[in-house]
Amino acid sequence: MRTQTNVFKRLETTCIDVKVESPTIKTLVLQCPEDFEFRTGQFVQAGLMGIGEGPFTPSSSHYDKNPIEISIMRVGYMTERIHQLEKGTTVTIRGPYGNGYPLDAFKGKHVLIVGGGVGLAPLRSLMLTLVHDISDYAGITVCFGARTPEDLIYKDQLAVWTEIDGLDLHLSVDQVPEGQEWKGKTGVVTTLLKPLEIDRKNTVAAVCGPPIMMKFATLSLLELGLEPSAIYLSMESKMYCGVGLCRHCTIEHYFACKDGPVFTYDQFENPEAIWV
Amino acid sequence: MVVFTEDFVCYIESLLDSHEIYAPVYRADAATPFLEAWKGREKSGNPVMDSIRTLDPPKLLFFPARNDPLIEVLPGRRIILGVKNCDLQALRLLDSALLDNEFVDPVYKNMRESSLIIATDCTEPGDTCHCILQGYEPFPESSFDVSAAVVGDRVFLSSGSSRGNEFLADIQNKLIVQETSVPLHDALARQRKKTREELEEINSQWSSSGKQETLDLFSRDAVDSCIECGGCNFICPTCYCFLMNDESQGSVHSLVRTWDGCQLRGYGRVAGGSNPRPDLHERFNHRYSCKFKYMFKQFETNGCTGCGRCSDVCPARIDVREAMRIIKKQQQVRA
Repeated sequence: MRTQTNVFKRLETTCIDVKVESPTIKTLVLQCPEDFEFRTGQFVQAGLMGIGEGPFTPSSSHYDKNPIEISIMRVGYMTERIHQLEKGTTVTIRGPYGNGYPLDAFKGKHVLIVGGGVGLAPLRSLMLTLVHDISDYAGITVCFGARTPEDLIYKDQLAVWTEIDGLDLHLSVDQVPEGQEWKGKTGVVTTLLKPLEIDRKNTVAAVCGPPIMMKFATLSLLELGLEPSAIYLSMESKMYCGVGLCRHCTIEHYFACKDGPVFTYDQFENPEAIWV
Repeated sequence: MVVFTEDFVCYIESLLDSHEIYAPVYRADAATPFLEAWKGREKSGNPVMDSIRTLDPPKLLFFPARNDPLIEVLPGRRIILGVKNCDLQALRLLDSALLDNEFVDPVYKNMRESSLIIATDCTEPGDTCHCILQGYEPFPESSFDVSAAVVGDRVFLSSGSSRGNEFLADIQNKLIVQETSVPLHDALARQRKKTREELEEINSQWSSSGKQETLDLFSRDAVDSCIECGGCNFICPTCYCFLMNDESQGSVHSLVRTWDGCQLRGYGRVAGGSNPRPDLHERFNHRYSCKFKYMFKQFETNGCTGCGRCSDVCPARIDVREAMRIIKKQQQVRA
């Protein structure tokens, strides 16, 4: 009989820094146990003892093993409590879980990264991981969008990213409310995709963001001529266990936690129904 | 191996010192036996060795409705007596889902490993029983340690596992083993045929579903009468969805796992309010897709074993067989 530690057991990490990214998003910097490792695109169940836990994908490169960074949007009770925490607090994690991005399949290809809102979190991890081995890829194009300029996250790092050779960064916001400053493009993130000149035979795309954004980004990518099998979607769903037991995250017959969270568009039998 | 049923029950009773025993027993005038902790004949009455599956599914004994999965519970040795084939097949599915997984459910594993399953024949199927429509027989086919088929005053014992072998070896040492005979075998075969014929009669208006491969959406009208109680989820022997919450009392924290049901509106809802299945008919469709399609793809077995409990508990009397008929009709319309 195989021995296994209890799948629900949580590891303790220490939050050594909290960065404010936007009015609703903060990034926690977590000092993990020494042997903790993850692959980009995998997620952890992170939370606070006695409060709760939820699935979050680290936003740092998987080459930066420790500490790791997790960007969390404040939407409910647990994330509200996480936003209140101070440096030095113990944050629990379980994992890493899920498949992550298949970097071997990306090798030699042009990688197009399309993200919106807090969906930038896993994509930042992917981007930084790809940049580490940038010569392995034909190129990296990043299209990030947010609702308004102040909702755009990782603003302090954008200047550094634009300097990276081989990385092409495009930004856009849906709208610029009065009082906010924005010199870049305005419009939903899909407007960034249309003018792109891509080698559709040699491009893969990674998409993450709110369901509506992912839907239209995917349709735009198909219009650009990408194969459904070249479109990698980071699917989020309600998850409790993270390990394929509780069944809450099922998308068709897949478990988003175990079979995903990264799926290619061609994996779904009824792709119209997955955008929820 | 054949022994007198009376001797067999005495033998089971002698194991009370070293085992927790669960068995079906009749309570007052109830037509369906209850699955209870059995304390011997004097206190609990005779265990029901025939009849119909118990009111509650045996999953209760392996997958408690509420527990802290971080606390390791090592139950003593347990015997679960009188499990019918519909529930054996449900356990087979739960084993696939919770044990034969990359990640093992620690509570289910401990409960399952501590238990010896003694299965019995179904002899009095109810109006909602339809194992035969799901491709199963009303007598033990697999997933038991010991099968105990009662015929008259005797019981046929056979083993389905190495643990069952050990159990029967002990019986062989302790009880007087009866001669098996052709007439006795014929009597068992006749009894099983009779039950099967009864099931065919009960289900004559419902044609065999076979394995469902595709499902269409149920319309809003088709599920109009459902009051969204979730009873069908909780009583189902193969439903095992759960949710987890943290609870605190002072500085003591615990993780509480509770059954959840996909028919309930909050099942898929996330923080912020987004819900993948806000409408009832979507949840209905999800449930039947899960039973007849997703579980088949995941575990190579349908999620319905025909026990009929969901139809029995439904306040709106929605019959799972009617749901299957809608599915079939929709498939015919499309074809």
